[in-house]
Amino acid sequence: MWVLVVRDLHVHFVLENMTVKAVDGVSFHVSEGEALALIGESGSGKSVLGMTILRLLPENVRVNGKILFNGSNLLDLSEEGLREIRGKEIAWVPQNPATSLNPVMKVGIQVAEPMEIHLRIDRKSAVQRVANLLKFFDINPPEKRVNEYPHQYSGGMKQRALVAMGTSTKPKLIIADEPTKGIDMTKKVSIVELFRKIKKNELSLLLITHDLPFAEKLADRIAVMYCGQIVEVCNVKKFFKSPLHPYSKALLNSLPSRGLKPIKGNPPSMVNPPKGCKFHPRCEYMSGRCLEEPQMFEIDGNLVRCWLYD
Amino acid sequence: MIKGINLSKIYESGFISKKGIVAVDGVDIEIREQETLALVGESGSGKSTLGRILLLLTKPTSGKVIFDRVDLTRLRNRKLRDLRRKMQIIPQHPEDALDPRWKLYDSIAEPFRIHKIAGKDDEEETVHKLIELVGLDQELLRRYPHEVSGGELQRVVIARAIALNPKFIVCDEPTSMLDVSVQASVVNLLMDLQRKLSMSYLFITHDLELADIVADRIAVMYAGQIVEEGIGVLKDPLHPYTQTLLGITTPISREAITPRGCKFYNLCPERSSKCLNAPKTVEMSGRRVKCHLYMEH
Ligand SMILES: Nc1ncnc2c1ncn2[C@@H]1O[C@H](COP(=O)(O)OP(=O)(O)OP(=O)(O)O)[C@@H](O)[C@H]1O
Ligand SMILES: Nc1ncnc2c1ncn2[C@@H]1O[C@H](COP(=O)(O)OP(=O)(O)OP(=O)(O)O)[C@@H](O)[C@H]1O
Ligand SMILES: [Mg+2]
Ligand SMILES: [Mg+2]
Repeated sequence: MWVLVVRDLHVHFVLENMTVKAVDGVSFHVSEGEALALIGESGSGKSVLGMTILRLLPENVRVNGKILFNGSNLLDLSEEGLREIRGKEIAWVPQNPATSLNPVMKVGIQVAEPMEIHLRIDRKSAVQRVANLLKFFDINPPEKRVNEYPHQYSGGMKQRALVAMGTSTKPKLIIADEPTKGIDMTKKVSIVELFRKIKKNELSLLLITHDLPFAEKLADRIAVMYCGQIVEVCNVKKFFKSPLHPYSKALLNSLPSRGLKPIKGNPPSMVNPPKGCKFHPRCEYMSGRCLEEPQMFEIDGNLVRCWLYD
Repeated sequence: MIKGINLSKIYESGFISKKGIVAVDGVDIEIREQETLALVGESGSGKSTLGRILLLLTKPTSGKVIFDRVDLTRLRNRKLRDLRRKMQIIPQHPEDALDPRWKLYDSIAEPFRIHKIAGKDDEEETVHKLIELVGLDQELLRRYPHEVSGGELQRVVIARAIALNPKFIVCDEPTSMLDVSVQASVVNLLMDLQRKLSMSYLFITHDLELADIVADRIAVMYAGQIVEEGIGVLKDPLHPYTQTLLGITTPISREAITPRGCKFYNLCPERSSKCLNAPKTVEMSGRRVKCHLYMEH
């Protein structure tokens, strides 16, 4: 069963004197009980993709394509219809705690709010549940921490409070944007544990992350984004052993454990992206064909956008 | 270069229970010229607070900060502001650090304006050079903070921090929003600058592998204290906490209560009755450890 299906999605920002093609023809799906990790270059369109699914984007955006959730196209829904889905059916853990938490509201009350609205429980029991969540995430002492304001939390605590808030309502699909950013190994274990539990209950996860070991632990499949496109969708085991796309190979080679070697050349512009394959100016395997845009090729059930696999 | 002596920070909280949170607890720390000290330790252990204290962005409750032989805690605001061009921060959350109403160009150019350094043409050229150094397109400069990605913003903040060729930078999780390839180029850039300009870094990170690569020395923080510090700490950890951080041993409980004595007592696999008294820091062949196991009794 496919819970989420994205078809040929384009998201363009129109600024004063340019258009930013942040998402440029993306298709993928997430199945029931599956965790799909979306990894890739910084600035390649991962967060924008996530925010488009929940329609959390500013006015100056042009969106084309289809986003099917439970069979209906989210892009056609009214704001009211969407409110029924946002937070309740699909939850969102945003990338930036600083801009996502209200500085003048106690953390306990903020984290409790989605539960009050969507699970229809009263404030007092919701805050009690928040205390339990904070305890689970090692934010101690929880009875005291629920009454604190965001600035009284350390960076990693804010991050975990956001994860608690996003996952508290038992939604069908959770989209989490960098949920482990700035969190140490020991605390990361609680997040992994939580997401494993979520998966066991047949709920689905779309994990946007730069944390490759985290993706390896949790994901069933890996989708790789580069310059607004998905260039590879691959089974997790295969991906970390031998990824398909040249960008993926180069990315894995710049892990600290493999010597901190960056990919040569500059990241592409989304205003004037390279012609043909967008990775070709930086690619070791470049040939004349790469000036033409490659389609997705299927190899043993995995997908890759590269002429090497024609 | 920079030295903190017996630094503490207590955050008073609540009107009812006047009990404060001890975020930093009697820390001595020194970072030499052209040296990188990596600061690791679990979330909430006081790393950001300590980093901000060294720049006097947070006022310590007690203790001294000596920078270039001057005690910063005793300086007037104006003097401190002049010194600021030599000390910068790459903050943990870049979204907090930039004015949302300013275009990114103006945020990067701000240090030049405050310190009245460059003329307009110079300023533009330098800002363009800086944004290129961190691997971003000049076109980005005309956007607002909410119009770029998390990792792009993080690099803008890095560009701003290195703008005035400072002597000391507190890098607080500087690559937490970057993919591993961009992380590699940013880290290489910081290391290059360090060599060229003899900079010193306090490098706060949760990535122990990265810490091991960038650091000359490593300090491990737990509950507001530096419990171990020196060279090769992550290869050959001495303190029981460092060992649990590396996953070599596991804490014996999940509950981190510390009524008195060693703060790690309740979790420590190697605790004994001695540990109910606070341990002292002992120095052995260049390594400093705060643990009874290494004290002479
Ligand atoms: N409101 C906006 N207006 C114009 N451009 C935008 C806007 N928001 C994002 N962008 C651009 O869209 C592109 C994709 O951004 P996005 O935030 O999705 O990247 P990302 O893959 O999440 O990167 P990161 O890993 O750094 O968070 C970037 O080039 C960014 O500059
Ligand atoms: N402004 C503040 N007011 C009250 N308490 C604070 C404040 N800033 C930090 N704290 C508390 O001080 C302690 C140390 O926080 P700090 O931000 O220094 O931790 P950290 O080691 O940087 O953690 P992280 O890895 O999560 O960023 C935490 O318990 C935190 O809740
Ligand atoms: Mg993002
Ligand atoms: Mg911090």
